[in-house]
Amino acid sequence: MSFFDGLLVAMEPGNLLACFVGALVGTFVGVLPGLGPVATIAMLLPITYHLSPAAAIVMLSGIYYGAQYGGSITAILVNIPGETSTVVTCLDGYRMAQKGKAGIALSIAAIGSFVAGLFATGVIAFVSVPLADFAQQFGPAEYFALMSLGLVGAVVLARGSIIKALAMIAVGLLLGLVGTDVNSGLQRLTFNLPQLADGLSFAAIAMGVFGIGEIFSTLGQKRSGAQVVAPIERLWPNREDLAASAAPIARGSIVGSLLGVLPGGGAILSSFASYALEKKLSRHPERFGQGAIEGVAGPESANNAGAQTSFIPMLTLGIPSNPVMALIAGGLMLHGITPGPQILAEQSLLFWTVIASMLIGNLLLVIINIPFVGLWTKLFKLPYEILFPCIVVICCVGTYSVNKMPFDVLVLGLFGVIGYGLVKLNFEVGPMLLGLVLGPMLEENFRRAMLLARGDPINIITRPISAILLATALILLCVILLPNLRRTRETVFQEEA
Amino acid sequence: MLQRANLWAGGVLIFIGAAGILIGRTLPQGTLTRMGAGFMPFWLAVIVLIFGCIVLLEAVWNDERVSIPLHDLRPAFFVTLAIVAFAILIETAGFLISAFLVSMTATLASPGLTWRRNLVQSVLIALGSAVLFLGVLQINLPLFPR
Repeated sequence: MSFFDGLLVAMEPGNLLACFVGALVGTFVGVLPGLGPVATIAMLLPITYHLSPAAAIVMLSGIYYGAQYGGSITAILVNIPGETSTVVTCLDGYRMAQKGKAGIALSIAAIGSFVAGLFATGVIAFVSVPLADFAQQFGPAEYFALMSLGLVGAVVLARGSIIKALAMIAVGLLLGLVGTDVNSGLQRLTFNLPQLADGLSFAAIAMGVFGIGEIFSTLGQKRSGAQVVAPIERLWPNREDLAASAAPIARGSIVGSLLGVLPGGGAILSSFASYALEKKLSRHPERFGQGAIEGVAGPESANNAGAQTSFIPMLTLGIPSNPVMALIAGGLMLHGITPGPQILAEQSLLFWTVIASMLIGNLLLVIINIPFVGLWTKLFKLPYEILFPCIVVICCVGTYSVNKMPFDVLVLGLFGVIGYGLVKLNFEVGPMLLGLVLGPMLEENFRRAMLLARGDPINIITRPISAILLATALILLCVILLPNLRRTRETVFQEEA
Repeated sequence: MLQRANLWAGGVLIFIGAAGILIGRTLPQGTLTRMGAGFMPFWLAVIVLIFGCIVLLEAVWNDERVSIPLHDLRPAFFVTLAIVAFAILIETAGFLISAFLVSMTATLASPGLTWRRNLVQSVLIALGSAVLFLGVLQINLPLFPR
């Protein structure tokens, strides 16, 4: 199986349609400020259960990178980030729009995203096979160590208290253990409810905390009235603009591809890092924030590259690096596929179809975005009063449709309230979702590792690969708990807010 | 007292940890070599409990303010009510009626919408979602009451 087999499958009508729908929905939620890719993917997760596994993952990934395109539209034209990863695009993109260069900013953002998307697809294709081969040698001890590193890494970028983020991971792991124990058949933490024998519905929890909980606070907020949309005069950049953006796009693609792979990385981190890098490298850093085209080209390329390469650890190692990847891993599990290195061996056609679809998806996105940008700005004004009942209905029907159990719908409602409460108490719900996905796998690998080592925990530390992984996790943990770095982190996120 | 975020956060974590230990106490612990079903739940619950204590201790001298805005409560009430209504209705009332009532109830969460607009909007949402789920996605659900 190779990339080209995948490309052929990805071009089958059903998968092509899934890719198009994903890209379209992604752009749509990228444009809408009240709805992000995390909530949308959570919402559509149960729906994809009714599609083929390939079409499901093709569509979900299209939503993630499509949102990176769509988010830049509102960032540039209205100065509202439709998406967290486009926060930095507001800085220079909106300034460009005020100077009458909105169209140029939009095209550069789309061109940059496209180039970065192609580059990242190539990176995934070349890196995945060796990485999965390497991971094939992993035993349970190595897996346990890798998952621990993944979970710790996910916390580095959590906003607010590290302790609370770590606690959320533990809570998520605990929730993941609810249900029948695979080894003994005993019911665990189920309150003797037969509906919980198969565990808590991942889709219901994800939709509850990300979809429903958000409605409470968004409806409560007083939204400012009509937003001014900057007019678009010239759409195509001239040679000067292209020359100024070429290097930032190239650097953004590389930075994004690298940071996307890291645990906790992805689109948001990539765009911030690229903006900082461009400002540092520029001969005129004072132009940044005043409408510098480099400040749009770099981050917009980086966020798309980062969004795509964050698939690498999930597809090859089974470690989701951010909440979106946790959801897509959950989508694979709904279809009975466990994320991990065996995907490339057992489901190689699925793997290559998803990768090839990214190529097609990026092409579709340029077509969806540039000529129809006027249409998207109209959608931006879609009233939330119409949107949120639709979200509630889709969440209810979606949850119910997976197992046909009304109980799952109650779980959805319960976790809507819980999610709202947790966010109000300054907890982050993302780490909880990661824990929920990894909980059963972490336990199983730890159990097997201990069995092989005859109950001697030292064994995990003396195996070279797991020792390195655990040491990295420990160092990372120490570093983020140092008060000095904690303060820098807080200032970084304050700029974001 | 009521507005101290970390005091509450720590309390919630301690509650979850304690509940986990209490609910899982009947499960066999096993040994490190042969872990029982209760091993991981117990230790994870202990970890949650410890984190809860740390957050609570931090809160004693350094806390953030929290307040639940009153205007969040209306959406929270109606949206949750709509979801519970769906869970009760879907097995008997059929898809159209359930979706319609969910949309009506949820829309009440937003103040300032007229009944007429809510009615029109909810009929459209019920019909639209029926086309999407039963038509396009071919999910097998009864459209009408049994």
